[in-house]
Amino acid sequence: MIVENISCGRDDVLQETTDLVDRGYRLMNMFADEGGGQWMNILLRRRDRVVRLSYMPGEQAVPLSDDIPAAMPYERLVAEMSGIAFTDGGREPLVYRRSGDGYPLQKGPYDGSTAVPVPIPPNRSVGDDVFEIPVGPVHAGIIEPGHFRFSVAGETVIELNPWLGYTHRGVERLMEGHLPSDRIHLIGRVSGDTCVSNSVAYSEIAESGSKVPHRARVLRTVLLEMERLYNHIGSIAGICTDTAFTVASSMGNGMLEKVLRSNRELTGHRFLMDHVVPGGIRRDIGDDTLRRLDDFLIGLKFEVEELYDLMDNPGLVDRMETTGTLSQERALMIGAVGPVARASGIRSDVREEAPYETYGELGFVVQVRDPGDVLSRTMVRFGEITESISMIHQCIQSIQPGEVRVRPVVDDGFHCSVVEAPRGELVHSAIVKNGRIWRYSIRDPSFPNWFGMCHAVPGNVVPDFPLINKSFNLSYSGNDL
Amino acid sequence: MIPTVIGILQAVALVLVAPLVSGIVSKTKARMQGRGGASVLQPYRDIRKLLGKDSTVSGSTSWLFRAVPFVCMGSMIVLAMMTPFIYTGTLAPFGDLVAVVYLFTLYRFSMVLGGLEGGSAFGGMGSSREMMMSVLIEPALLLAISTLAILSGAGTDMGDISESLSGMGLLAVGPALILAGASFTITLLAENARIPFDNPSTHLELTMVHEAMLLEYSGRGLAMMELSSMVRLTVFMAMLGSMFFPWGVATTAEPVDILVSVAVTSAKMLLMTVTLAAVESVLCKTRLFKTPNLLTASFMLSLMAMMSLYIL
Repeated sequence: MIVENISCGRDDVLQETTDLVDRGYRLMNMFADEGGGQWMNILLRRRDRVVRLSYMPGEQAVPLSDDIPAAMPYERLVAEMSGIAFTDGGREPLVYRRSGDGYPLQKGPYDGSTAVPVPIPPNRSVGDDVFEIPVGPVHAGIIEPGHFRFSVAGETVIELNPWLGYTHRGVERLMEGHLPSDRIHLIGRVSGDTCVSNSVAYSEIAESGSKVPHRARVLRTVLLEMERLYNHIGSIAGICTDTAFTVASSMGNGMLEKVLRSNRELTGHRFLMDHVVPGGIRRDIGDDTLRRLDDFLIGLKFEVEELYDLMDNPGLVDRMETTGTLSQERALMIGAVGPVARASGIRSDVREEAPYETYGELGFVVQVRDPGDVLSRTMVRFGEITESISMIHQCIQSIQPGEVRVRPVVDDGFHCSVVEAPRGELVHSAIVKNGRIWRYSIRDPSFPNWFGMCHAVPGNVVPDFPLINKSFNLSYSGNDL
Repeated sequence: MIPTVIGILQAVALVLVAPLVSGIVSKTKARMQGRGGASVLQPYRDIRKLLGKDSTVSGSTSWLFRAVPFVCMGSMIVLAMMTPFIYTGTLAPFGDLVAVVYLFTLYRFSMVLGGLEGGSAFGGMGSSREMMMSVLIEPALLLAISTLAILSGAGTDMGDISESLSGMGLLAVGPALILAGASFTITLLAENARIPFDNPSTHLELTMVHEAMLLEYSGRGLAMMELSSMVRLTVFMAMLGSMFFPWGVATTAEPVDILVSVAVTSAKMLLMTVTLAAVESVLCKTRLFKTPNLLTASFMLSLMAMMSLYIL
């Protein structure tokens, strides 16, 4: 990954950004930091080249969202977190959704106790037969909290507005002021089912000045793919549950349990928590254990095929086809990432574009499908399960004995790492000053994809929403931070 | 005197056996998924538990909300008395087919009102979906049972139809009976909120039809709603068993006949219960707006059954 820092004037930033976008760069993150005044940082990526464009907004920042629609969520977040004003007016709050004294990500003491919640605004769709259905934040079943507002005409959804932020914990602020290698436990808990990906992205920053042993890198790749495996299997089982296809659902959940048990055998934790640390991995995984994993995965592969055959059922396919279609054009517009983007025909996979750990040494096929409906997202996941099993097999075949942990070293300055989490491109960026974290920013793949879902749902009927939601399989806590 | 006692006993038996039928369906489904599943007696325990709890009623509701469980339970008890379950001499010789169909409608209509009473978005959605289906279920159901009435030539009482058809022996088996039976089976799935029309075990409020209307009920009210929907399933199965395939149902109050009928009816009920569980396991829920296609197919089947009586 090659990071290029560009500073520019306030007047040039729009031109610079649109030039980069025209050259094939995609907006990855936007965040503000303080250093002799507020700085705006715009992160863009094309394959393995990352550009950090920074400028001082002064009184008011330049809005990019008119030319690059994908920038809108970031602008809303920056406005409410860091108190950046934009020349074209205010921004609706997105995650923290509180107003009051100060802004949580500005330096200096912050007391949030006097802040008051911003009330949920009514939907924009109004009309004689338009009804608004509020759902959540407490849902049936064990899922995370989030409020949804549907505007419906009969059963057809006209507009969907998610109102998230119920799991906002102030992770970015909690990172500040600590030694870069000290916060692995916090990072592992940003989003429970993305633990390995977050830990790897964080570790790549915290160990950027040291050489991590090859065996540790191979084992990290194994853990990353195990995480993708259990996420994708859980997601497919969820699709079956939501369509009341009970036998396949039980089978999928049974497979999920087996993978989680195998996770525990590997690392002592069913969700692989805290095994990846800056400088390598916490404890070596024995060759016997790896061989047993390999044997288990061969059996799993047959079970996945069996599940696939079971799900090749006309009734189920009818439910999934044409449901919740996110067109390629829309997906590009909102900057969708991960399996969601790949199901809409966009070939974007960090593992291929900017290989990290040992992905450069592995052979795999990026799973791209059309046309962005529930079926294509499920097919992408099925394809990736097979690829993951093959990648883990390649890793286990090629692993060499050696060290697994070194002392992490990190230099001052700006660092950035990008990882393909199960849900897509996960971006961590840090500014280190005097050996301590000055500013840390996380961009979870769910963040842009939530907006993708808002484009995929309208036009579908209300009973299909849970299915569409499941096929996007987005994280609330990763989004809310 | 004895026929009346047997009539009362069979109505009581039908209500009492209803939770067991639901329990067997759940158990069979669990076994098909490779799970152990709860005991077949679990629905009894659930109802006992709910009966011991107080109801929480929303402040925005009127007396109607409290009355609905009684109307639902009442209409199902009346139906249980009219249905030939074991013995064709039912307690309601004057309650004819039209009354049967509209007792089902009364049940559904009052439940729809109960769903709307709570004032929540989910109850309203469930109610509107239920009415959409109801409009399509009603003609198919009426036509399928009327076909039997004409076929048996015994008037419109369910007990008489059952008696007459079982007396006809194999002569009764023909296109009319088979087509009407197929139509009635689809109606059974739709009326009882089973897959593919609805998912009785879902937790997703946005996809619910039947369950969405019960969301606001709790405690004793919920117990009555649950029990009445179990009785509804059993009544449907009893009708399918004793009218469409009536052989074995007791037509006299002789003890031997009754004992044979108990054995045959139990076997028939078990077969239907397991079949229902199997059907639910291999199908997934259809899209909401594709359910009318299936219901239209049910109507067409019963229409063909009726036509075949005059053409063949």
